[in-house]
Amino acid sequence: MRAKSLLPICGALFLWIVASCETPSSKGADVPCRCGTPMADFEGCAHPTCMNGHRNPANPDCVCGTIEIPHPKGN
Amino acid sequence: MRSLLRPVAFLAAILCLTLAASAATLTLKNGSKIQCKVERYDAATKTLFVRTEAGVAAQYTLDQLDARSVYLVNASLVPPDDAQAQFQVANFARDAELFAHAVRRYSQAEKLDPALKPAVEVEMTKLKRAAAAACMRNARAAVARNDRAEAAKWLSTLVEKLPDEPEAKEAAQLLDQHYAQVRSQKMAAADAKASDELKRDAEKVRKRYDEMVEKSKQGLQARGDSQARGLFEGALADGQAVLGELDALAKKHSDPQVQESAAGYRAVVVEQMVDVHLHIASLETVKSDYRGALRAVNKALSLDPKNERALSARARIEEASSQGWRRWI
Repeated sequence: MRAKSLLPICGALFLWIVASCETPSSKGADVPCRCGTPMADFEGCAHPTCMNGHRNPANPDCVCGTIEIPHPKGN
Repeated sequence: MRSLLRPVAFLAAILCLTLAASAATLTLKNGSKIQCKVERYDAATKTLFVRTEAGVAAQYTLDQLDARSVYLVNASLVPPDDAQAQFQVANFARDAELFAHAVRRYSQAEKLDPALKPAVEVEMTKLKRAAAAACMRNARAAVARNDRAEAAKWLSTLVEKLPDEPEAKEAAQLLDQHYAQVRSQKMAAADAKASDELKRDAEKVRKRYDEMVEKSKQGLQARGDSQARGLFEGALADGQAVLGELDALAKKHSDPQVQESAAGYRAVVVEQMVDVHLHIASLETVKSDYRGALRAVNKALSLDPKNERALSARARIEEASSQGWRRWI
């Protein structure tokens, strides 16, 4: 009975361990945002946010991804 | 032939179709802002046609616009699943010299509508011409301000990534004046930190390093892939030999200061070896061999795990490989 009640906990623990041991994607890891430099305009920026198709809010020169256009009230 | 002409004619007809007509703020180069709706972009005249809030039709050439901000705003308004709109935004990005963005959007347009392929090919040819011209312009600007490292970077990029463009030949010749000089300056900087005794001992290191640099440069200048690869492999063999020499020197001199100076030499050699691995990765990428390119980049990272250029290259290769995008790494 006790073993049965421990099963979900063990399962959750197992999943957590598997998830934490998973090799993280190397996509853009440790790469700074170079948007706005001629070389990044040429070959693309490898910063994780940019690679995921989003604009990096920390870099005003970043033109990756999309941004929300605020619509004036009443429109 | 007729099957090709039909989509091209169709695209020529829709090239002037409207972009998503949503409200946008355009920023001009003079700093003024205009609230308007973008109606279309005409790539032939590089003109953006808009309608102001008052309902007045207006047009702005690319020269008048702060193209980066216009791209940022309008790209966000374009539906991601509209192939024609993606195609037009790609044209705008190309004309604004946001080449990587343009390539990405051309790929997206083609993926959404495979019938666009012939038109995308035509625009990609124009893009490559424009990108090669931009590379050469950046290289010349760097030469003008005596920044040899920047010049060599643009020249190498042009030779590696756009080898079939007319500027690539000139860039290969210009590498003669900059590539080796930049690297010998790095070695001289390492020399300046070394003791006279270490400098004497490092004579062999310098000689082999110069050979490695020469082979790397010749690899970039080579016209054939196999010749280039052979030269790059030779350069890497030289680099490995230099690292062996440096290990021997480090063992010979136990003084921590000498060890530090030897580490300076090592950093210069490793940087050049990373460069060569990335040159090989570019060769593989041009052939769309992403697996081979990743192998080369991983070798670079095994030498310098935090190397930014290698990490960036790996991320871009992985993306191109997983998304099936065009080669532009």
